[in-house]
Amino acid sequence: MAPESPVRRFGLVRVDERLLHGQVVLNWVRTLGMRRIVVVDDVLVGDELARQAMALAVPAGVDLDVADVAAAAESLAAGRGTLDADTMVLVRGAAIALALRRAGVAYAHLNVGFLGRAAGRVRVHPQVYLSPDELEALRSLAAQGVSISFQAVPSEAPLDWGSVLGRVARRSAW
Amino acid sequence: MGTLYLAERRKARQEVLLIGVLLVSHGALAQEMVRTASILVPVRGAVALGLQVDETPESFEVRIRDVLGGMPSADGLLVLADLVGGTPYQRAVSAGQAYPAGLPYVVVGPMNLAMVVEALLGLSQAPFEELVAHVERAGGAVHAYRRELSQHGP
Repeated sequence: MAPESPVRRFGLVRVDERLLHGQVVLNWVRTLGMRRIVVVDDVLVGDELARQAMALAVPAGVDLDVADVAAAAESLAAGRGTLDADTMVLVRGAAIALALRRAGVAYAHLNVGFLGRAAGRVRVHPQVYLSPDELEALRSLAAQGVSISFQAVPSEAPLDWGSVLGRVARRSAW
Repeated sequence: MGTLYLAERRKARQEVLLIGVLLVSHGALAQEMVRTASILVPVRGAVALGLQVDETPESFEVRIRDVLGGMPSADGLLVLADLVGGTPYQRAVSAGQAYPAGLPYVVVGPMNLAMVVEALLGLSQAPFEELVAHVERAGGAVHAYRRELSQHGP
């Protein structure tokens, strides 16, 4: 990350394997009054059908952008007239969150909302399971000063990074 | 005599039951839709899949694709989804790429019990596009009953 990148306080920067979907729209986009959603995802950039299906979840009056890391970093730097506080950034994994920050998007806070149950992942939250690689990416972000919290929906109390590290440390598998 | 006639009818219906109906939802809604619909109509030919709270979208799509292979499909597949744009809907759209290209594959939402019942009733009787139209009409037929206001009473 370029050292001169200004710290950005977006409405929400979220890791969610499901990207844009019912839970995110109903709980975050609407309650936080988001005006712009930026989905940072290489897979969707190349899959028009999946992009169209996802776009159906976007409420009226909210702009949706789907871009790869480089294009998203450029677009977010420009701001495009929407306040950071009204902008939601969505990525499907911790590695992309890290890549985005390395591309110069110096977000201050990261919400980890959903990483599903899968082989090689350990449960740290009812909806968040982490692989060793994902844990490392988050460690790297935390070391860069990003405050990380684990929270599926706004009505639930967020779990902080320290508590998650404690849970991980108690697992012999790590 | 009557029993034989019914058996013949049932056999005939089995032979024409070539449209599949798949219900997809968050949580147990799809399964419960089918379970509840079974009180009203026969539910043969319907399959329900629910996205679990900690399940990855990829895992859900794999389950949809697995089910597609085993469904009656000579005339097409109708998928009913609980929320338009939700993960089950998105993954049902995506899984359609694994369905035979020459057959109609339609994802309709948001589903309700009226649509499910209509789909199950029409399965063996209507051509595919007609069935889809029936189902869409059933889902859109919203009616509000407003009780009259009164100064008296409880």
